[in-house]
Amino acid sequence: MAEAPNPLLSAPLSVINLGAELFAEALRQQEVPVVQVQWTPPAAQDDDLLDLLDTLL
Amino acid sequence: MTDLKTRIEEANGKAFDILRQGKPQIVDVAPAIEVVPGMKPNLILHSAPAIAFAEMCGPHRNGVIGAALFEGLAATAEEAEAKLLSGEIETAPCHHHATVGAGAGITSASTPMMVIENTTYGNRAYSCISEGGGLRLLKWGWYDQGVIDTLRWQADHFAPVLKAALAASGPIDLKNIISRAVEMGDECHNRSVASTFLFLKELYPHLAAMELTEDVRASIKFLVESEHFLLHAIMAGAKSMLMPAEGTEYSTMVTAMARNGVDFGIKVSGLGDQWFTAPANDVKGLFFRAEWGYEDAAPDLGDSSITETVGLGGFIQPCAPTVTQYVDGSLAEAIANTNEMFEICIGTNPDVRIPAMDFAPAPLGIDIRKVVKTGITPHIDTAITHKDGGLIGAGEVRAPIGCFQKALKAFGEKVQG
Repeated sequence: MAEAPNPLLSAPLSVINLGAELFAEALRQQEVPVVQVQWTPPAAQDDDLLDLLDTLL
Repeated sequence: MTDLKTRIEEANGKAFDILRQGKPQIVDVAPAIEVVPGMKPNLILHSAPAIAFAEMCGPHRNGVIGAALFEGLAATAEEAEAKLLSGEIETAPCHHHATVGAGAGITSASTPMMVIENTTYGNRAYSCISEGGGLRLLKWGWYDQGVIDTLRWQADHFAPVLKAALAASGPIDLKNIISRAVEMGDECHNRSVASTFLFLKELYPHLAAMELTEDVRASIKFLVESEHFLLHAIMAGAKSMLMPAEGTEYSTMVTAMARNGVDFGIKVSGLGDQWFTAPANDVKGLFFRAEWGYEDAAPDLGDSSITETVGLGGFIQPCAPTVTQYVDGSLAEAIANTNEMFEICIGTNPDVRIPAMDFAPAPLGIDIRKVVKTGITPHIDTAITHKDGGLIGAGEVRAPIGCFQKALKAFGEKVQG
């Protein structure tokens, strides 16, 4: 029995790109609409610093 | 908001306003021994943070030895090393003497200094005058007879001419020059061509009015050939703007960033004179000759990151898209870098506008809390120095997060008891 076609491959794509803008730019160059979200992974912190930031900021 | 957070916000607002309202002006040129606070005949200053001679990187070691020879404190490099190790010749960071120095930051008693006054607060800061262009200069940790001859000519012939021209011109408004230069392709660290020309535009009428002696002619020729001449004055101007903001209780604003080729150090307004350090990063960039590569380079060094501390240089890269060529970059990447710097700063500076970002005011006033929270560290344009001395490239580097984490912990201990 044939599988149903993957809609990702047949329907227009809706893309949200998180972080590295290189991927968004590559899609834009292929005329794929893309929403870019500026994001970087949270900095690695020790628990003491995280508690301190809660107190100071 | 808790009382503590409110106190920090108010303190940062106060420190930020002091920084923004500073008005640096170029007022004089004079030998370091005459104007630099605490300068002594046997003292050689270097870029911060403090480091013992035995621990210094190659450019710093070479620089202080070269200065010892220039000053006649030793007859040979071996004698200079012995006196530096014994303490007969002393070393100290420029920053501890209201001074900043590019590269290795080498400054000794005879060094002619640009004298900058922050006229809003009446304080002064200093930087050695530029040695001009070239890859082999004392500030890049290189010395030979040619370097020492140039230093002697600057001290004995060029500095008096520059001093006389400045006396005739009166104070030259550095803040106004910076505001115009950033709209003419400078970011005032890796590129200071426009600011140098604007400075010379103020100076030339007074040079031309002087009797055209051989010294005056040679000085004009030197200035024409030194297209980044003003950088050192801009650095001292930045230092003069930051000094009044030091010691603001409860403020988390950064008041100095400096590197000595081993460590990267910061000072924080509410934490007094203490340096917080982490190992200096390697600079990413373009090498000026094919024979040079990353294996030849010293880690990040110099006090010139004082420009980023006042929101210039790597904080406003889009003002000078040409500097992105050092890292094979683009205007879009430069804008992204500046957008990151907004995230770690207290406010913006309407006196420094970024044309390529619709004249947005530049990010200003680094907050250690925001650096630690976001993990975004200051973005710095800078030179690349050979590990044995000499300029070999230019590029960009990030401050290490470790010094900001250490400072935040110290700040927490201070304000929470």
